[in-house]
Amino acid sequence: MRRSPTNDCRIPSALFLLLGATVLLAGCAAGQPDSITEEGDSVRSLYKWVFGLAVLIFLAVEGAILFMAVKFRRRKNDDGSLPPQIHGDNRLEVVWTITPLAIVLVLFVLAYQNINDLQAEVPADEIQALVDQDKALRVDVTGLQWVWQFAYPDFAWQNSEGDMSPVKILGENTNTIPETAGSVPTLRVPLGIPVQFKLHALDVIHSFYIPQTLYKLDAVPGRVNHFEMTFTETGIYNGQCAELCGTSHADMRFRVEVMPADDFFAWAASEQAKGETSALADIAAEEAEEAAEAEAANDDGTGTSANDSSEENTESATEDTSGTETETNPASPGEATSNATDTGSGVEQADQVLSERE
Amino acid sequence: MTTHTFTPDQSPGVGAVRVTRPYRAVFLDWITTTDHKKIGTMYAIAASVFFLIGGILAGIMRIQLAIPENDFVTRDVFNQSFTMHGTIMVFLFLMPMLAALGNWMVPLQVGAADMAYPKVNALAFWMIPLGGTVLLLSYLMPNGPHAGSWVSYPPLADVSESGTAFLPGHGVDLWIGAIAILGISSTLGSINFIVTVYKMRAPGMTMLRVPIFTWTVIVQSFLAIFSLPVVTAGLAMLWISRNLGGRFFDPSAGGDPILYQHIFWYFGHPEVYILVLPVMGVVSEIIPVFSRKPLFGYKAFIFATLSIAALGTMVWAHHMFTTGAIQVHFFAFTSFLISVPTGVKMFNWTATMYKGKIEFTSAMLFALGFLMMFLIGGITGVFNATGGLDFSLHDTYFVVSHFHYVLVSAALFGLFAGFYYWFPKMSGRMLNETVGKVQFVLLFLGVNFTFLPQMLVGLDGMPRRIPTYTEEEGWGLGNLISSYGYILIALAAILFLLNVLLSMRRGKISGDNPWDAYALEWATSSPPPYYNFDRLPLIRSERPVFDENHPEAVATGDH
Repeated sequence: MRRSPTNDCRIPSALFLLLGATVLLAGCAAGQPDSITEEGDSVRSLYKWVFGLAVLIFLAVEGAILFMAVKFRRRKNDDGSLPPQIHGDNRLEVVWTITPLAIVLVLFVLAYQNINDLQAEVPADEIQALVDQDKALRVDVTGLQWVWQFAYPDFAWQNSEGDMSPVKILGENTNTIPETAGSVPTLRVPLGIPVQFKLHALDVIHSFYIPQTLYKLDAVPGRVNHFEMTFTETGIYNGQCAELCGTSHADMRFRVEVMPADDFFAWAASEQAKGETSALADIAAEEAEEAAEAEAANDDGTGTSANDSSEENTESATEDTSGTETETNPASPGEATSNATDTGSGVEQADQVLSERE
Repeated sequence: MTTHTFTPDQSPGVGAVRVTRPYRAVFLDWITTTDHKKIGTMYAIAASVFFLIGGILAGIMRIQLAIPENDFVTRDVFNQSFTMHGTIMVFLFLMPMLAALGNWMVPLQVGAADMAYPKVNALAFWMIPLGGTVLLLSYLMPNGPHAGSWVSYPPLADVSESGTAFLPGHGVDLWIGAIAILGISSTLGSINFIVTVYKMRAPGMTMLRVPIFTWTVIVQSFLAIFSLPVVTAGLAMLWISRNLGGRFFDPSAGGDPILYQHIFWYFGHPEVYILVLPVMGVVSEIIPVFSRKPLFGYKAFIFATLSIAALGTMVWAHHMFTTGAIQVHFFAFTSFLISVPTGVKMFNWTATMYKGKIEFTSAMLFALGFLMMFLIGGITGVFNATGGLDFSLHDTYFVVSHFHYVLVSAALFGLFAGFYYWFPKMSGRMLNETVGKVQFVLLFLGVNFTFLPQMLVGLDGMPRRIPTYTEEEGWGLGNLISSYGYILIALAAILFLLNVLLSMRRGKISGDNPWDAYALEWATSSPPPYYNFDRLPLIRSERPVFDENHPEAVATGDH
């Protein structure tokens, strides 16, 4: 039952060349994007360690496999005798149990520090003090099908109903137009100071992901997840939902504009002032109306007017959002306008849902 | 060897007198059979059919993603496609295909006449087409099949507070039913394997003489028994939530969506080892035979397999790092540890070739391909295990690439290796070796062209489960190459199918033991008679057939 000896090692040798080329190619291209946060830098340096070790192990083991395969191939002049029947070697088994164990323990030490870096946060009692000095910022992120909403609780005003209304940036809800990519909201954040994100989800699980921060965290209904980042590069970056959330999951995009802290706070303060002015105007209008009502003494429309004014608030926030959109998304102005008209009701709906749940 | 002239159950093969029987009798014979070999063959046929369906679904996704902002299919169809692709490939292709090999080989390897419970075996098989039909029927439902991915996280797969489903229609319900059926099928099969090996081993075959493939099937079966009922229970909760107002996962009623994720991944991670361990067993049969040496470190290998299984039940939450509800350090640590026994296996396979006389048959090439691709899958797993890196890599194409390197190396390289190796035993004929080598080269190129670019776009931040992406993101080239790679994999699969179909009738007659292989299945004729063995060799090591055929090695104590 002997087989004819063969000398066919061409395929393994070709594989070796191919793998070499692949590694070279992958080595040049492989890499995460440059990080734009301090936390991301920690991930990036861990990545470099892991990638370096991975390449070494990859080359060593693939090399060993191919070396064995080519070196110990059956030769043409084989006499058909059996090679030495080696059943194993306990010392070797110990060596190649302990070596990988040592490697992963070293990796674990690195990973441990990195996890601590990512999970480090300013203590809750200190953050308020920092926020008051404009040395930190809090952002409420809300995910709902299929849109992101951002709010700055530190920049809020009292609206006509007596509630605190924060500066908001709202995405267009693509719920009403599932097969069209909606335009994207742009979240503004300051450079160089800690930004604390709190993640809320109103319907299903979403995941807040900005690739260049090398971080994502899920927004889970019933939980408020939070994390901190300190941005280190100005610019406009893409973000996207990373947890499947239904039909238009892929359209649940946003942008992040990292701007110098002074510019950011100037902008936020002006938004807050705008909100305050319009709220005061609303209140004044309401008072005037109430006075008129009192004069007429036969009218009962107070509830309606309160509703009207809260809608005006929403609209002013929406207008602001679409203003930023046209700056950053010049690709489809026509579509954006038509979306805006189509989805105006969608945004209001979303905003109402938001306020109801809150 | 055996000189049987006519046996009523004879499969068409060598040495058998072909008796033409009416189609009806053949049909009745196959649907009522309790013979483990015929059931194994039916498992393989069913799994192949589902592989083609799952492969077509993958093709739909690769076409859609080939260029940015493509509109080949709608978002819903895309979401349904990856959901069904994942479900079909895991539950209806890989698990049944491994069951096919297990059914064929476990009784033969331990010297039994059949499985311990032949009727349960038949039942377990027939639940596969049943489950598959239930799953595919959802294509006929008003809103189509399940579109919430194979993990089916609530609330998306659940109903909202007001009771309306986030995914309309009954796709999710049919999906739950199908997984329950398939899970029960696998559990029954697993119990059968365990009892067969524990109670029906031939005289002389101690547990430490059981062939490695059978060992891995045993460990796989234990994992399946531990984990499949858990997911079945979890899916029952999901079904109750959807249809009877259970609200287990609804925070507004005191439930928690994270609870489901724990239940699912408590099954989901061992599932990976359920799919991979037997393939490691296949490769551990093949590499020694074609190196003409015993497996290096047989006992170490068994110990490593047990360690992987034990550790595999302790790492599930590394799929949930980004939920913010996980002790990341602990699960990073246990996940790291898994690479140790896996590394031991890798070194043992490599050392088996040392000083061997390696013959590059198709089976051996595919086995080597498995080692090389599985290594990539394993190393990329370490990136995810670090915890910190996983926050950037989770739910991106890096992960897609990682687990396809693991599962495709198992599903395609490992199983092709197994079929090139055991086809002669099953049919009495050889598969065409030239076709096998062409197929190997196509597959090797195809897998790397498909999944390496996915790794790169994933590192760049491309999330998974998105039907489209914009041009400015720069993921177009990687996706295009990946889609071309799919064509190569598809060609390799089609070549294999043709090779099997043609070789069944016209393949070279193999003889009983064409590879001069070692384990007990090679002691009987090819194909084996329905009662499996006329005689058994003395079993004094894990290689009884080798001991019998090579008395010179035994005599010198060098065995």
